[in-house]
Amino acid sequence: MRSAYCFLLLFLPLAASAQKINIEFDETAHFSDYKTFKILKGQIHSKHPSLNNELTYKKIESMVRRHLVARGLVEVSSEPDLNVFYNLGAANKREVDLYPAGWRGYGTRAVRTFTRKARWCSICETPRSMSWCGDRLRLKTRTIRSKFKNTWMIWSGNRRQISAKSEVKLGSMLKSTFVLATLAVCAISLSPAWAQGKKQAASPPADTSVTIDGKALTIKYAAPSLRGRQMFGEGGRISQDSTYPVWRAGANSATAFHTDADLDINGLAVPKGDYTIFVLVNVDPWQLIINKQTGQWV
Amino acid sequence: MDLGRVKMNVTKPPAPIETLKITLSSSGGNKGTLQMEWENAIASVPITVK
Repeated sequence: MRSAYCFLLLFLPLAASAQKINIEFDETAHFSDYKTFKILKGQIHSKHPSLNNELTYKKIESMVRRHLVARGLVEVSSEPDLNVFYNLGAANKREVDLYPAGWRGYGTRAVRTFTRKARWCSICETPRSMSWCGDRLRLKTRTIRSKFKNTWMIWSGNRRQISAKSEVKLGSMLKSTFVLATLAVCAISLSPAWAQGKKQAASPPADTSVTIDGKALTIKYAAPSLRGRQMFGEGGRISQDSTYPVWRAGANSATAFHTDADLDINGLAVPKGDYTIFVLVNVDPWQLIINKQTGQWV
Repeated sequence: MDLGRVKMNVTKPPAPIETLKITLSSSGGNKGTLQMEWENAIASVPITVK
């Protein structure tokens, strides 16, 4: 009896770690680019009262929220960088396969496979491009850093998958066996090209140029839009930038300034050449920064 | 490696500006303006070609 106990204790952690997780995600999605998120109402596919209740929603939402906030994301009510939604429940799937069986194939054998899925959770980049999707295995939440730089994902929950196989020989004896299996549910990820197209649309490249005294001046930048977000000021989007209080005066790549002429910019002598411009936004009035380094973030 | 920092003239637009816009313009002669407008700010600096 005692040895049986020990065996169980030894075996349980092994069984837990043997469960397989499948998570797929868009390799081009860099989670460090996302600054805001919104948790959408999840869907529960179970009628079981222990699963389908308000507390379950709250528990999942708080888990997701905790992980995202720990990564420096801010929850917003509209126009988020990330939409979070999740599905939860025990969806039963039944498949029936028929094979010839018995003497000289006279007879049919039906194999029915029942698969019981539990919880899974996914996070989507707004508007509809899926950044990652994964299923959940354990009660404890954790964050996984993927092998791809800057990409990370969270998953949590309790997932148990049981595949029950029953074999029935039609017209003769009935035999049923139960086979336990741990199968991982695969998920879908978005095609990289689509994500890229969407990203470019968010802050399209723009430029402005002028000829003064026969000399050309040009600025190349990316033009982001507010999309409902607050930019400047305390709590604004720019105050969350890693470069704050310096604003990069654009998006994506650095904002590049080229001049063919030697200039005087509000008292500062700027020899002809290429520069990167920034704006210091925590002072009144703002200050334009002319930086000699070029090609940042390109 | 800052070449320098200069003060900008900042004003408020009558309505929020949705998309960042940077404009280089000529003010006649050897003078021009660099202007940035976004959200609740229009910031500009005068430029002179030497």
